[in-house]
Amino acid sequence: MAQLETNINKLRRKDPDLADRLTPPPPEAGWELVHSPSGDLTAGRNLPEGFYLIHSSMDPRREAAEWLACQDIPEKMIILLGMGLGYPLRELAENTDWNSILVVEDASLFRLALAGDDFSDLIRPGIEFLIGPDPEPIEKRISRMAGPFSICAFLPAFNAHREFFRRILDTCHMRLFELRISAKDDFSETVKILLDEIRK
Amino acid sequence: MKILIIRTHRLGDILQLTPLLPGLKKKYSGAEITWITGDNFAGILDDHPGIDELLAIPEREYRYLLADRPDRFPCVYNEMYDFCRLLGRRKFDLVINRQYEVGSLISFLAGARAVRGGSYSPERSFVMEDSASRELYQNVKSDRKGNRMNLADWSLLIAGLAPGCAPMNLPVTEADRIRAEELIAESERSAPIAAVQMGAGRSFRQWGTENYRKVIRTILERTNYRIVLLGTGEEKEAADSILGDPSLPQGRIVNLAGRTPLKTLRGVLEWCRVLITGDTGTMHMAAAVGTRVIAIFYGTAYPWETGPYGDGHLILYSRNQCAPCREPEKCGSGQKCRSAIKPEHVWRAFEIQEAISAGGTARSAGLGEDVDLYITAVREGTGQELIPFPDRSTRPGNALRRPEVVPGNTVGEIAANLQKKKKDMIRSFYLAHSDAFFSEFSSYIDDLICLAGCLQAPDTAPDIRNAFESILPYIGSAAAAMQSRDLVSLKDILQYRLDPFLQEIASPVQNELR
Repeated sequence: MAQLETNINKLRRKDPDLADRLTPPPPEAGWELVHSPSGDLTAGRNLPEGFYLIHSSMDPRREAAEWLACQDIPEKMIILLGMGLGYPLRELAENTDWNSILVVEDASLFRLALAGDDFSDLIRPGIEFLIGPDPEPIEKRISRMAGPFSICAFLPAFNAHREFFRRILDTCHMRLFELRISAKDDFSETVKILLDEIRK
Repeated sequence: MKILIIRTHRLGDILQLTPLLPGLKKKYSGAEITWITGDNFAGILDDHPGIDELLAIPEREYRYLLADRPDRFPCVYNEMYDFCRLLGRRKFDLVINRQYEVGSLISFLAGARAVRGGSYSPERSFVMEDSASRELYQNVKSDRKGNRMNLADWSLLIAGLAPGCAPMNLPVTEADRIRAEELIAESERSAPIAAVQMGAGRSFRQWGTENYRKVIRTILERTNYRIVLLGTGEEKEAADSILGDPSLPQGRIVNLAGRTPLKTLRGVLEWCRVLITGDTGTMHMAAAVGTRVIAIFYGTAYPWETGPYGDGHLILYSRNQCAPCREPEKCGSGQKCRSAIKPEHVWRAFEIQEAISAGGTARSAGLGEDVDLYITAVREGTGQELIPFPDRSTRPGNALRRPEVVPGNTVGEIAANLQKKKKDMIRSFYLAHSDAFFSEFSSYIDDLICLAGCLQAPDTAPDIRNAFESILPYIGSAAAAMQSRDLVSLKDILQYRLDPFLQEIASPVQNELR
């Protein structure tokens, strides 16, 4: 719990409202931390269908590095949908050229992440945490995005709160679409024509 | 040289482009070929050795979403935007577009240096830069009858290659063969097999179940052949009616309609000695795996354009002056072109095909006044010809050059394919494509079952068999993880438990490929 308090205290300086929201445990829980053979933590929970893991039970860091290698990140503004215990975020922050990262995560998992690892290097300017479960303020924030952005999703975390993330993803697509269409350049106009042709 | 081929739909049209692959590799040494196809056809191309990278777009899903779900438009728009931007980063030297407007637009967005087969620019809209494309377009639009060149040859010409310079080709893997054998082994094994594909997409293209029934009856009564019925799930009922016909010899017909995914279908077709069909995608697949075809052409189907490509296929075509028609629904002649072709004509073609493949000759087609029989022959430089039968004077020996099936390292090949599938699945996982991940996993498990079957063979090395037994518990764990949709555990099992074993048994095959 000491790690959680340290992280929340650091977060309080940056986002006091969020720190307050995280101080009492959120109502939905059930996640547990599990050590992997590589020494890193993963998280899982029991579902009626069986156990559900968020990160590799063998090597979560390697998994995050492989995840990043598959991402297409052409923009310097990034929205990360689902960070789990933070491995994908750390990979993004350390190994990509970015101006800002908006991290969307559910409160229960985010709290678990803060309890599991030192986030002092990630609670910093440029990285903004948009934490559920209420999607509305997150949607409002995304709708204010001023320029094109890249969307990355970490699937196990995304699927753990699928309805919530689907809604946020739709908002991301709507905003990105508005930004691209408003450019009115040959590329964005031709994509529109292409979709008309596919529809035929 | 980076080359992009664009063709996303229609199985037959996709297969008619396969001669491009060896043709381009031969012309441009070291060429890297990327192919864009629809995701429902990816399974037929994803292990083609001539394709360096296969990109699949969910075209059917997009068509549905764009038509019926306007709320999804932003998402589809962004996905296509990102897809095309990624293509642009590949910096293609040449695009061969066989998808008309869609391909033209993708070519423009990809920023290719040269485009053949139709291109687009905002200033000039849709244009055809190369003369072969313009000529083909004019032919199709105004005078199909004047065309004497197969679409496979047109594609070669459009790509800047000589018609007939390369064969239609589709690999058949050991796993395909094993699955095909399991299906076909439902009847006695020793007799040769004739496959019959009764359906074609639309009703006016169907020759009719009763006609096929008569052909099947004759083959079963007069030869020792077995019959395999092929088709989609929609054609299963018609196939069932033949299977259940008490007047037909029992135990010699297998109904595979709706039971052959594309990969299995190629294994089944390779197994068969001949396929009897209308102008279907299955017809092109048979030709691509080296199986002889007896094709029945009528209505809109025009054998010079879309006939089975390769040497020694037989095509029945009516002499009706109006064929090929443009609007069969408005036919004023009672579709004579179709009714002119009788079951006895197909049987005669079957006899002739038998005689030819036995190295003999048939003196006369004996088909009467209304129907012609053609035999196909491909020559480098001019492409495919349809030679009226029995005028065979221009070509000695029409026996089909069937590629020899060389028994390979079955276990090693399946293991190597499983490793490739694992890579694809892990990529789907990281790209958050969970549906693709689960569907690839089902296919992975199918191959793993094939592998398990192979390892039961008495000549399997004891250490490999022991190693396989040691991974069996992980296969059980994978099934449990699948149940709880636990992708992470599934991925871990593939990556850390199954893959090292597969690596061990696949390495001889991979070394050979290197």
